[in-house]
Amino acid sequence: MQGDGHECRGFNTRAAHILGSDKTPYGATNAPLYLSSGFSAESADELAERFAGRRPGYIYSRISNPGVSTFEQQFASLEEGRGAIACSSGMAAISAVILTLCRTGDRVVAGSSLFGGTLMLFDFLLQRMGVDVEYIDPSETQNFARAADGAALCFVESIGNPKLDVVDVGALAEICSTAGTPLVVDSTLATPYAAPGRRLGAHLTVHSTTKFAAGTGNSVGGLVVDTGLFDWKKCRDPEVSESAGRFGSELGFLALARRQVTRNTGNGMAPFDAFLQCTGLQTLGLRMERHCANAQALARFLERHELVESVNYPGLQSSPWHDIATKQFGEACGALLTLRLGSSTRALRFIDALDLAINTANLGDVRTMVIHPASTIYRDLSEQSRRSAGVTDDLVRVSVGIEHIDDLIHDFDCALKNGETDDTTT
Amino acid sequence: MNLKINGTDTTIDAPSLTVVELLKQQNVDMPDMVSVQLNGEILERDAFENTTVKDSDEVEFLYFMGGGAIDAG
Ligand SMILES: Cc1ncc(COP(=O)(O)O)c(C=O)c1O
Repeated sequence: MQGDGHECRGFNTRAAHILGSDKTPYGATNAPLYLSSGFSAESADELAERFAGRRPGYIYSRISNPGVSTFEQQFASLEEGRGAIACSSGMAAISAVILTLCRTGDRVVAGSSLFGGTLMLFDFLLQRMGVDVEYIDPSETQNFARAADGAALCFVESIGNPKLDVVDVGALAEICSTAGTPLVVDSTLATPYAAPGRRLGAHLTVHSTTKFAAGTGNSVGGLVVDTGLFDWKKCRDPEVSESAGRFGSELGFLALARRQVTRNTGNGMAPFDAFLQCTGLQTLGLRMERHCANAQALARFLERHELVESVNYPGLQSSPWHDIATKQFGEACGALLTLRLGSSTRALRFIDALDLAINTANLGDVRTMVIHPASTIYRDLSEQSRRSAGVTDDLVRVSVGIEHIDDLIHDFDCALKNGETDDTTT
Repeated sequence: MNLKINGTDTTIDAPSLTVVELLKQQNVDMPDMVSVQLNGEILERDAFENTTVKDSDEVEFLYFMGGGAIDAG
């Protein structure tokens, strides 16, 4: 701080300079890793006071850990949110939100195109818990408004995986605020770089930090951020509103989620994963810039390619979601694109013919990754779910990495041509 | 002024402080994540700046991010 009131607002500045690093032991410039299950106290009274929440301090790493807190604060700051809770995976973060806000008899409103894992969680576990899930196309705002009324929460993805549809988060948030229903936005594919959750207007955001936050595919993690935009005193769930009465309107959700859910389900993030992901987060902005530029360039190339039936990328003019994507995210329309190749056989051959791009279920890695969703992530889902998510048999999902664009274009071009040669010779 | 902070008598070398100033003066870690009760009433965050703490007040900081505060309140 120069003492002139200048507040560092730049994304990369805030990402690189870790909060609280002025207080690290020995002046360590990076956030230390605390591999300790428990934390001791100087007296029995001191530990009792920590349990009572009357003194700060760590207790046990299932509940919280200094390095994990650093990751939570860093991510919350990039989301311009009130605070965050880090979980063992993206799915763990979504589960934590559900377990905090839903109970038997409740109804959840979900966007109709969601990531396969989330769909399976909703269709299997939620139904088992006696929570109804109503799927609504979020672009049909009137239907959405009708459904949001009386629901425990509404859940959408800011950029759908793999449909790559982009929801107007601000419009949905307005509907949800009027209905008194929290809007939960999975912003894994957008990341805080494309749009901080608070600026989007979401009430809560969830992220699979396994992806772009970690950046190099070295760990699994997730996180829920409270943007501070929902008044939890008005939450329909009596325990959430009671928590808001005790801890404040803005902190009601986080307090209940930490004290009763992540603490007791043990689905918090492990310290080592937090350390890796904190390291990744520092370069999120730089990587996203290249991810998005490469995705845009590769999408343009593929769109003109005679062997490609169609390309879907929110940054392309041809995407039905181009306008809302650029309004919300500017040029950062994400790293995912999909292409259709006419048949399942062609799609599989194309994947096999790629050399640089890796055939794997992960995404958001510095390396370009591809997958055939219909035979993998979506294989256990119903035809209806696949259709809603835009998963056709000939679809290939590409998570564009940060390689040199010429190398990527060369790899894709060769694979398209070589895959085609195979097709005609057999 | 003399305050009771989380049950402990505390003397502070100032006639009054806003809640924001008190959080700073007490070196509270992660002040964004701390709930504050003043004389038994929970204070909303947007009131921190304009609420002053005076002699004989009782202040409770609640640190829930560590997972505690199960019985607090
Ligand atoms: C949009 C989205 N949400 C959630 C998840 C689940 O995250 P994780 O694998 O970290 O549990 C994924 C994983 O691919 C995802 O793409």
